[in-house]
Amino acid sequence: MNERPAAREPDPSLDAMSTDALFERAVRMHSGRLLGIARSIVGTRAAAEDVVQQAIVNLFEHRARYDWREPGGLMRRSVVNEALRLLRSPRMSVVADDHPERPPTSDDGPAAGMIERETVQRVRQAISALPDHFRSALVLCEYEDMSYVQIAEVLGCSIPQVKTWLHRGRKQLAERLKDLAGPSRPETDR
Amino acid sequence: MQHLTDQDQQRVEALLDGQLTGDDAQALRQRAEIKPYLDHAEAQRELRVAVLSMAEPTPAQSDGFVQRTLALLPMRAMLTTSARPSAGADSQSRRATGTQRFSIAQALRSQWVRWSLAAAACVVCFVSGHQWRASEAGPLPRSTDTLVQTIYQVSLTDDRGNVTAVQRFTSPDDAQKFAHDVERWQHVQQEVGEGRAMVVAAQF
Repeated sequence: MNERPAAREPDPSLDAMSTDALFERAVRMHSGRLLGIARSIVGTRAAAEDVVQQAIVNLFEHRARYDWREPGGLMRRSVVNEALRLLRSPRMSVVADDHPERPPTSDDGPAAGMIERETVQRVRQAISALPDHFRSALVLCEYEDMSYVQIAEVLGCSIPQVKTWLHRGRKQLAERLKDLAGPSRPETDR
Repeated sequence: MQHLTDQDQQRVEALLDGQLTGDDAQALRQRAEIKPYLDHAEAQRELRVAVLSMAEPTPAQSDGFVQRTLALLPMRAMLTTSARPSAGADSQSRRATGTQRFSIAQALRSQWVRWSLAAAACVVCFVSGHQWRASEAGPLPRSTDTLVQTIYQVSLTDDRGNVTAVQRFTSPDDAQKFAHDVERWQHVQQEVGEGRAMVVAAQF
């Protein structure tokens, strides 16, 4: 897993860099993570690359407007918006992902190495089957560790809406994956 | 095991999402009936995070993507420059440039469009003349812990065949993807140059 950029004070040495140099630094630093977000939302690696590339090109066009010393939030917002735009556009056909997930590595944490391939596939399919906004909110919340306020800002909705999307998304996932839950699965009032 | 209300489920989710403050979180954790649901929800969340993490590209894939994308940006800047009035342009020249944006055929007389099409011509050579090559450079110095790396090089030439830019990649896939991206851009330029399309917004 690529390193998640930690929130920190802007490095004073960045002040001496040009906008273009800062922009390039931002692209190099955040692309891996952005591709992960985009792929989790749009489903395939090829579509994710298109989404992130388009988002970067859009930002490049308006690069003079932004502060590129801490660009993570801006880039995430741009990628999510571009991903949702892609999902809203009419689809010509459904194309299978010809680049399946890479195998888990030690960087993914101890849990990842123990997950069976079939489980990975089923969880991924269940996430893919969620409505676009449920999936986007879930990815931003659980994968990006974003607060409800930040998610609402990125998705352009209210905080209660975010909570609802997350809750409904998780309920749908629990329903689809109930046989993965094991013997200790609690009863809930659906 | 007790049923949990929707409200309690949402509170547990908020707890796991880090959205509950200290006292609220503490109070929720102390409720015995919550514990099984909390453990289950936490395990499910860890599973999802692990699966989502696997969607991230490898560092090599990410590097290839960054190289391709950064290589496209100068072309994007050129396209943007040719499609937009300059920042200092007065209203009259802005109107003139606006007209050019909507009528490429008329605008062929203007210098900025000729410049743009010359740039397209270099890509024509690149694509139709097959003057790009995925060539193997000589072996790089071998270090003790790395393999010899093959470099794939894509050369862009102008309409006289002079190499104007070279982009290097570590995999043939990346080189081909870059070539594909350039081909798409060149196709758009051709369409515009032949009057079959108009630049009304710079989208690449």
